Amino acid sequence: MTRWLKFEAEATLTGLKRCTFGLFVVALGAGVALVGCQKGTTSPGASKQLDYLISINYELGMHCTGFDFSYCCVLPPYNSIQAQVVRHESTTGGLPKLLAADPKDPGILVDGENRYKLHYEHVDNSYSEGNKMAYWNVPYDINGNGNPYEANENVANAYFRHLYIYGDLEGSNPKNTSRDKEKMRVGVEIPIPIDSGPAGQPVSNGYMKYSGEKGTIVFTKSPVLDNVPIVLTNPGIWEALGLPLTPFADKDAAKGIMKLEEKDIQPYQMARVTLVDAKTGKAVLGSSGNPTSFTGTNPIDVPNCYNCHANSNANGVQYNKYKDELNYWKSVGASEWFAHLKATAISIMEIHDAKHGTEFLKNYNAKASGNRLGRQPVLCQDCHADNVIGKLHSKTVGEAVPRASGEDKPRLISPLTEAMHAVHQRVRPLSDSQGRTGACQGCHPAHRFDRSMENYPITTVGENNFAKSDNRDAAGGCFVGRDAHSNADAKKETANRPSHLNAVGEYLQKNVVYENGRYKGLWCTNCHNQLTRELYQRDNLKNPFAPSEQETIRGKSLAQIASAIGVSETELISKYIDPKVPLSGEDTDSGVQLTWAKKRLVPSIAVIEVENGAPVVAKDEDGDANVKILSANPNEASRFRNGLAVPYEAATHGRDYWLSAGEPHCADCHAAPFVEAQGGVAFPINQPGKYSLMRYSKGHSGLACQVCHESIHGLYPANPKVDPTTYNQAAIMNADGSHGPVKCASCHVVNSGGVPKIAEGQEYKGKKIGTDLEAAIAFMHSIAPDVGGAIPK
Amino acid sequence: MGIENVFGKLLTTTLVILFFGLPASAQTPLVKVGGRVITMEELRRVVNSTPYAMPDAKIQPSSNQKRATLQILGEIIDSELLYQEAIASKIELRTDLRNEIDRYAKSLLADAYRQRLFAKIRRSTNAIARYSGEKHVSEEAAKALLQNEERRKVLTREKERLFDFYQVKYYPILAKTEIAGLKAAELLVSSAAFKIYFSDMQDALADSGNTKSALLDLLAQAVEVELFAAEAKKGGLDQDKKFISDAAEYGKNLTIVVHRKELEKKYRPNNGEIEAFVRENEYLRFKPQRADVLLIVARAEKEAASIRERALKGENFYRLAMDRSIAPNARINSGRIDPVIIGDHPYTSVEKALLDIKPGEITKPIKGDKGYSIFKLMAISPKELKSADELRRSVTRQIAARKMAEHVEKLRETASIQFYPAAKEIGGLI
Repeated sequence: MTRWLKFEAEATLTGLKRCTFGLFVVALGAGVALVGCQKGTTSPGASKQLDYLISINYELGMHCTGFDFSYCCVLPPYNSIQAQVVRHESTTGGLPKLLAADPKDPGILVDGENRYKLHYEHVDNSYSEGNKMAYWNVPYDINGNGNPYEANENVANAYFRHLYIYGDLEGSNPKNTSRDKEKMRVGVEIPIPIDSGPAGQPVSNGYMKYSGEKGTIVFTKSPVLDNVPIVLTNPGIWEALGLPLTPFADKDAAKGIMKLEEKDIQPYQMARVTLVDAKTGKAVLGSSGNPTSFTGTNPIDVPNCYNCHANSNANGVQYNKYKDELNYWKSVGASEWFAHLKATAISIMEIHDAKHGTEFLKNYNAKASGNRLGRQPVLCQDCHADNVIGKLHSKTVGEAVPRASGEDKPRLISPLTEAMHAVHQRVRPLSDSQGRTGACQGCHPAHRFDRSMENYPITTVGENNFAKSDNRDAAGGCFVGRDAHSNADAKKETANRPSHLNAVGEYLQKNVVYENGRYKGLWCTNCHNQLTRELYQRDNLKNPFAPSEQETIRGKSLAQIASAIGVSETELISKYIDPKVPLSGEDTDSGVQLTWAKKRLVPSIAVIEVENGAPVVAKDEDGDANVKILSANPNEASRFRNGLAVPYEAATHGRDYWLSAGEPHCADCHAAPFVEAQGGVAFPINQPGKYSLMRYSKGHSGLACQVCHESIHGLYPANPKVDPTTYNQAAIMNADGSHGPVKCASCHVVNSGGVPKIAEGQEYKGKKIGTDLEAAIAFMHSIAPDVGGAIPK
Repeated sequence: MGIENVFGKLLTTTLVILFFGLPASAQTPLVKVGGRVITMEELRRVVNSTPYAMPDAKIQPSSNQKRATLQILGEIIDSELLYQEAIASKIELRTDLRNEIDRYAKSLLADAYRQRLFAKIRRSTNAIARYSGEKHVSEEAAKALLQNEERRKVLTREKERLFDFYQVKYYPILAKTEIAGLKAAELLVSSAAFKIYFSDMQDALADSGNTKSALLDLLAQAVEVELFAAEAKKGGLDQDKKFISDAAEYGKNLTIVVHRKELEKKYRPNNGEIEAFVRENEYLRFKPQRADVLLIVARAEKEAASIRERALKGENFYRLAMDRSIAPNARINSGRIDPVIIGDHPYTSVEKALLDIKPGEITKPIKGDKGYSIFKLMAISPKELKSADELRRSVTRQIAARKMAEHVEKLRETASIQFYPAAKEIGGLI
């Protein structure tokens, strides 16, 4: 089989030139081809060398959004490029240098006397609004005066208007105020330019900015605290923030938005970051003569709602408006897919109206006189709290539903993610033959780089394509078959490398990852489950990279963990570690439902001051309530006379979803030191005393974990058939052309074992490191500075 | 001017249509297609309901919008032509189409009947006050709560009444037989006003997972729709103008969709046609090749040739691109551009030149829009054959699309299409 090896970065091409096989490699597979290439030309420690390394990461494993916001939406477009820049040890005369910005200008990268900029672009994806997106062109009455057609009044500006700053994006508050009048709201006082993110950076062809010593911070209001900081980006990161990226290439979208088809989706968009001279704007050529330029994935996909909502699967025969919508769009020449998406939006709103008493379609006009919806678009987060966009308030049912019953009126509306997951999981658990829910990939998209729909996880009528087999046999998607935890080919790259597992990890490896001797990988619910919260709540970390038995239960046996959280070992496995759902019928009480349940443990957010058992609340000039936080580490309640640790749901109606307290951690399955650092800087997204979210975690010398491992769901080594951009990305950085994780030689001068010269004399666990790369890696993880995400001094 | 010229011009010209600023009134006729007049209102309505534009012309017309507007007018005319052709072919006699339109009309009637039932609900002030006192809720909440309760009760009562009145009977086969054992002609529910056969439920059931519980759910919903629709008819709601117009609109849209599908089926090529088409277009056998290239554009051919010479002598192509190229972003991108997909590039001369060289080589200067280009080929994907299935699918699609386009073209040629003066004002096209 002939495979073409394509690398975007010219740095890699240099490496390939040394390869005796040339650019066309004939072999059994890409992985084998590359091994052949390496053997012929390089040793693990010496091959191509880069002057600079630029990492390219993103925030969410797979961003999932609609692109036509004229009816409704679930999530806004928001893709970021995050980067760190390291100058190679061989060129510094000392240690490798992590490069920062001019303190006076966050757009200028300083390297000694040299001043550079970081230019970014998305290859063949230079714009969004118009042919690919209806967002800025969709009016929305932001100021509520009844006229949605005033300047800057559109959905793009409506979406983030609960976020605000007082002067800059570093969290400054010069007047130390919380007065609403002083706030500059995103989209209102600070309108978002077309085709740009909330910080004003364009979707493509812009320059990255440095997040500085504090990180990039906006504020939002919580029900019990004004000025809640939202750290959008950790300190010390180069960023292009919240870009309205679509999965459509310029080439494919030229035909117009109505003609877009599902096959046009390219979910692994390629971001390219180039170091350019600050004055001339010219690309900086490295010593090899190639531009200092790197590429990486920026994932974006469109969810599969239409598979059920544009047919009778979800609508039955009772809800029919979708039919008219479908036919209308088809009759005016829209593509099948586009017509189905429009019908889907109408179906969702019709069912929502029927089930919850809303009146989204009260003025819907199927005859298309003007605005068919008869109102402005429905933004889900207007009523449902959703931590992922910093919306911490839910409305009550009485506020949202005009004819709500009296009993229902004071009830808070569920967080968006909980409402959606719980109901869909209940009515459509979509079990596979193993009892694992297929609803994850049924709804979350799973499009692939090759754009083939073969072996797609959900059928066009909403059935689990793998109901009679195993969900993990799908051909790949945003996680399955893509990243290190689910990519069978990854084993070719990392065959002899240890996984460093704790008891939970070992159980999964023996019983889930391998089945009947065949590699199957992890399924979504092996990480996204209630266990992650239970472990998190019991963390009281002092040293996350070598915690004592008192600091965490993560190092204990399954029996001990079960006992600690108050369940049997059998239940721990069947409900928390590998939750199963009914093979048919509704899912009402599985471990998957528990993950999204109202009644479950919600970890503590902080210690607040209480008096006589009630919180001490101060009101500001606007009457907003403010509790007094005594410590962001909830384990410290006993330090205070009037301190009480309260759960996340006491502070945000969005509960713990999307936050460190509610999401999986490496530390759930992996043993220290192969775990995250503590949180802190990004409180309340993460916390001191607890493992951080991986995307906010930093390790060796202030490098984000993502630099070497890539972002979550796309962890190295990725599957080239599903996401070749990520696959190639590591090879560009690794001196030996391997596909990740990134090795020491990318930044260091190394010995024949690939161990940095400066580390070969060190001892780890009583043994000299020498040429033992594994020991060097473990040593490096164990000595990482644990400063809560800040820039280490 | 012949119709075809007019039409071609209409679709291809990029003259400005400042649609929303037009002085024409909503009912101003634009085009008459086979006796039916398309008005400004209809065009505006369709354009306004696309994502390109929202009501009241909020958006600045962009070139994309202008193109889309032209395209939409063309598509309205095409749709009308297809509809008229469908009607002429007596498509409305097709049972499946009639059934589907009928089903939709019934659901509209059932909706209207529900609303009529709800409108009859009256609550006394005393009842609201009493309820408010008993439940310790505000009067406003009591009003809403009572209303919801009343609605539920009214619907249940009415269904029970109609069940008896129309003698609704579920057949035992439902309880005894699994889905797989049911035949299309199996009667599931009968009544004095309607009958529901398994065939009536099969489409919806296929969309709902083909399970017994799904069938029972769908059946309960279908029975409610039938009962309410029957009562609505009895009450004359089927004579309501809005109902008639909504149902007709749906019927028309569905007719067009079904007719399009029929034509696509008719034009699906046979094996012989596919083979012949591939023989004529050998390149179709291969997957599109992707070439990664660097580009330098110079104003004059001589200059391009001189840059090429320097590159051939070993000068850094990236540096040359930064220093000499007049292409936008050359400084930042140092000659790197989006990959060229062979078969998609606007200049075949470029594709041919790239196919003639090997990776690492540089093309001779090629004349383009802005000057003379030289390309350095960095890598090109190998010529890979499509799988038999893939080839068949893509060729089938292409042939069917071509035939469909020819079909519509013929309709345009033979139909009577008359443009009104107001259409000329839309940009002086006609």
